Amino acid sequence: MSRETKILGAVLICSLALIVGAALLLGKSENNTSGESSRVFNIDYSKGQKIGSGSAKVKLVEFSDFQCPACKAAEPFVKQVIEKNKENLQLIYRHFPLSQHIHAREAANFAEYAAAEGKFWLVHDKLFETQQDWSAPKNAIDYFVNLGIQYGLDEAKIREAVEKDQFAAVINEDLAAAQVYKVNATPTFFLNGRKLNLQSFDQLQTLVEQELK
Amino acid sequence: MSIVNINRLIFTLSLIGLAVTAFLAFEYMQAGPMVCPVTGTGCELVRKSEFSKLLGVDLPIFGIAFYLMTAFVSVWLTQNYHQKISLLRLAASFSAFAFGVYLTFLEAFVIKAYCIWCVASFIVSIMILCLCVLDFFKIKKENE
Repeated sequence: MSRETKILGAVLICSLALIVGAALLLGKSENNTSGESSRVFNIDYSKGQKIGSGSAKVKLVEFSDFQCPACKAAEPFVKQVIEKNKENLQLIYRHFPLSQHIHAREAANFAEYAAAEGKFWLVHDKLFETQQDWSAPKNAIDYFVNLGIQYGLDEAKIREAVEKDQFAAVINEDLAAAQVYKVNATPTFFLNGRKLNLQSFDQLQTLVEQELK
Repeated sequence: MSIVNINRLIFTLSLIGLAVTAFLAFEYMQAGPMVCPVTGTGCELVRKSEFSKLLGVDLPIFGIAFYLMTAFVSVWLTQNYHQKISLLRLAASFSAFAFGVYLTFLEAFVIKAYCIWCVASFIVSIMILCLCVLDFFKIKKENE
C-alpha cells in the first residue's frame, strides 16, 4: 500500500468519524428538548393582540408573519388549542414580518388598523386564509382594501395604514422583543415564557395540557 | 496538473460534498414542523416539497452515497491509476451532475425556491465532473 493510499484512507476514515460523531452529538442535543426549553423569558404580556382572559393560567405567545406559509400551517392547531382551553388560555399574537416576505409588513399594518377598529381577529383569519392570493402580486394593497371593505373598514384608512407604515411603532416593538427572546423563525411560540421547540404543531395541545396540570 | 494532484482534488471535493450532504441529511431527519427562518426559506420549502425524496429515501442520502463512492475510488486509484476505475468514477459523476441539473430545474421552475446547501452540492458535483473528465483523459493518454 502506497503512502498516498494510507494518507487518503486515513483522512477519509477520520472525516467519516467526524461526521458520524457530529451527527450523534447534534442528535443528542436535539433530543434533549422535550418541546419546551428550560429558559423562561420575562415576556411583557401587555403587548400584542389577545384572545382569552388576562388572568388565564396559560399564556401562549405567538410570533408570526401573515405571509409565512408555516404560520398558515400552524393556524388550525392554534385554533384547536384556543377552542379546547377557552377558560385557561390566553393567546397573544405578536408581529414578526420577515424581510423576505415582501407584503408581510403591509399585512401587519393592515391587521393593526383592523385592531384599532376592533376587527383584528377577523382580518387575521382572513389574511391567513387568503395568503396565496395576496402574497404573489406586486401590489397587495388593493387586495387588502377589498378585504377590509368586506368587514366595514375604511378604504382611505387602510391605504394610509399600509402605505405609510402607520403602525411601525407597534411592529418594531414586536420585532425588538422577538430579538430579545431569540426568535429566529416563524411561527415561534412561548408557553408561559418558555420557548417551544415543537416537533409538530399538534404538540401544542399536549404542552398546554402539561402546563395546566 | 498531474494525475496525482487531480485525484487529490477530487478526493478533497468529495469530502466537502460529503460534509454538505451529511448536514442536509441530518436536517432532513429532524422531524420539526415547517418554519420560515429569519434568513431565507429556500431549504425549508425544498425539504417540504414532494421532490425531496426518491423511492422513499431522502435525496441527501443519495448525495452521501455518491460522495462516499468518489472519495473511496480516489483512495483506490492511488494504488493504481487504472482507466476502468477512472471511467467508473466519471460515469458516476456524470449521473450525479445530470441529477443535479434536474433538481436545480425543479428548484428554479417548480418549487421556485433554492436551497443553498443543494446548490453548493451541485457546484461541488460540477467541479468533480470536470476533474473526472480531465483525469480520465490523462490516464488514457498515459496508458497509450
